[in-house]
Amino acid sequence: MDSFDGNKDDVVSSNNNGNQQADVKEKKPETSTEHINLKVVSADNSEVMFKIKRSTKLEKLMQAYCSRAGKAYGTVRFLVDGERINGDNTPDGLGLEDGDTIDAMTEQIGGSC
Amino acid sequence: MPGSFPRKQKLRTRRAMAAKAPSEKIDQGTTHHQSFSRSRRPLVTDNKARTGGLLRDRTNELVRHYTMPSNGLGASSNAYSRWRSTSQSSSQTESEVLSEFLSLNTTDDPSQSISFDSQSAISIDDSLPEIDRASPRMDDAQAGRKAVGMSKSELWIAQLRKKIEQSLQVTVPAKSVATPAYDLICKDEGELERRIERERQKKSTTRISLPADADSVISSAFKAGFSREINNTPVTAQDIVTLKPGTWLNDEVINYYMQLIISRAEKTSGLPRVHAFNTFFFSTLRDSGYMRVRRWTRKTKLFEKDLAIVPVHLGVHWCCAAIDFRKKTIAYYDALLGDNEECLQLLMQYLHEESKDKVGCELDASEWSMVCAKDIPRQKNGYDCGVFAITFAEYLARDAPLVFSQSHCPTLRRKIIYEIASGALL
Repeated sequence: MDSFDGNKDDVVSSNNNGNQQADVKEKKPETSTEHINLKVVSADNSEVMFKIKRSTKLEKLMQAYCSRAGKAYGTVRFLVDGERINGDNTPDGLGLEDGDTIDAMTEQIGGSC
Repeated sequence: MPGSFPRKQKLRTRRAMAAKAPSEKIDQGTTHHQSFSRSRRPLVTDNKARTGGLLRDRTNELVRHYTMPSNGLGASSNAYSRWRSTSQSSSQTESEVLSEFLSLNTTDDPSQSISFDSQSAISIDDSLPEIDRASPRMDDAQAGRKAVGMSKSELWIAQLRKKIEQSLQVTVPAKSVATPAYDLICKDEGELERRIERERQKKSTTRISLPADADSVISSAFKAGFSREINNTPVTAQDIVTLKPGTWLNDEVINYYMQLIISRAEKTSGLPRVHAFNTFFFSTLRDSGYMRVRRWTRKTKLFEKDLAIVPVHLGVHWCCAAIDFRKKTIAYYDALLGDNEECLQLLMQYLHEESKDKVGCELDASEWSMVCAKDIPRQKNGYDCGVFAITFAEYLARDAPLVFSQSHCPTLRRKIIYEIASGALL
């Protein structure tokens, strides 16, 4: 997962050899195809891979994930790098790259112990 | 020979001597002084009955001491000089003192006249009933008759006895009495009362007032279709419902509120530069480790901030942690005053990794302190912790003292709804 994360982060941490190799590998398909693979990881670390067009709204992916995970659409909070994304966003709009991770969090409530 | 007396008896004698003149004139060495101060409190605070008992006890001891055949006149004259130095004012001449010493007032209250027969004095026992039996009281005439045949030392003893009786009846003013334990209690209680008063004032002066249009704005937030969004962080009427009195807050409300705090800090000058993490940050860091949250701050230069607020979700409980980069402290705010060493350690570890990753230098952990804040407003029910967590964050983000309490929570809930609906903090 680290090598995937390294794709967008080469400015900050370019000294990691593993990441650099990953970059080289991943860049080829990035330019050659309009589809990218995205990994949706839930809070309990279970992963689901999706292949999606760069210009497709992520709403489709979200709905697919929810139905697959057995959750109601709207109860799952999707985050990229800790920031919320909504259904209108596209992979291109968010600058997502192949292999990037989307976090799928569930509602948290709390009142007391 | 004085040395032959039991130690306890000698001590008692000295106490009685000291009690005779409870002023600081006594100059008989440290031992005397200590025994004096030990004996002083009971003497002052005792009621009459007990004082009477003590008096009898002590005077009879004295009598026995100075009439013992082995004691002799040397002891008496020694006692006289001591008596003189402790009880008389310095202005009196020797002759005046001596005449006073030798004078015996026989017209006193008959109850205070005592037999000075040496035989009965020697036979006096310590216990009170026996004393009464051994020294029957006499009327004036008897006392006078007896007094005629008294030796000098017997006169002196009688006089001494009187003096002691008088001094025991003197009430020493309270202010001159050393009562360290009592003073300490008074001080502690005073401090407690002042604190209660402070808290009361805080409570009464802290008024959270909402603008005039609050009612309409708040009711509009509950209508279906209500939604607000900052930085893709949405909040809808469904989430606002969790702000109704008595309900548990959800993550959307808190995340939206964190966005409000961030945007206020950016727009308002004079406030600390604040970064607020979302509610998923802590649970992700805890459950999946640093790598999974490594990129969460790529748009934020965390180490250039003054303060970072971390909402902490613990299953069913909301807390708040604050990383202060100015004071180099990590503080944990739990409205139920719980400890969470794990949270503090995780955040410290996070800072360590983050510093290595983003700044490229190791963090000096020894400069940082971690604390679970205890002197904070406290939750007294089972549903307001989210309100507390949000309010801790809001107050901390403007360096305000945490002056609110459980009683403010209904108003705080309305305030939060108003702020969410109007898109800005008050």
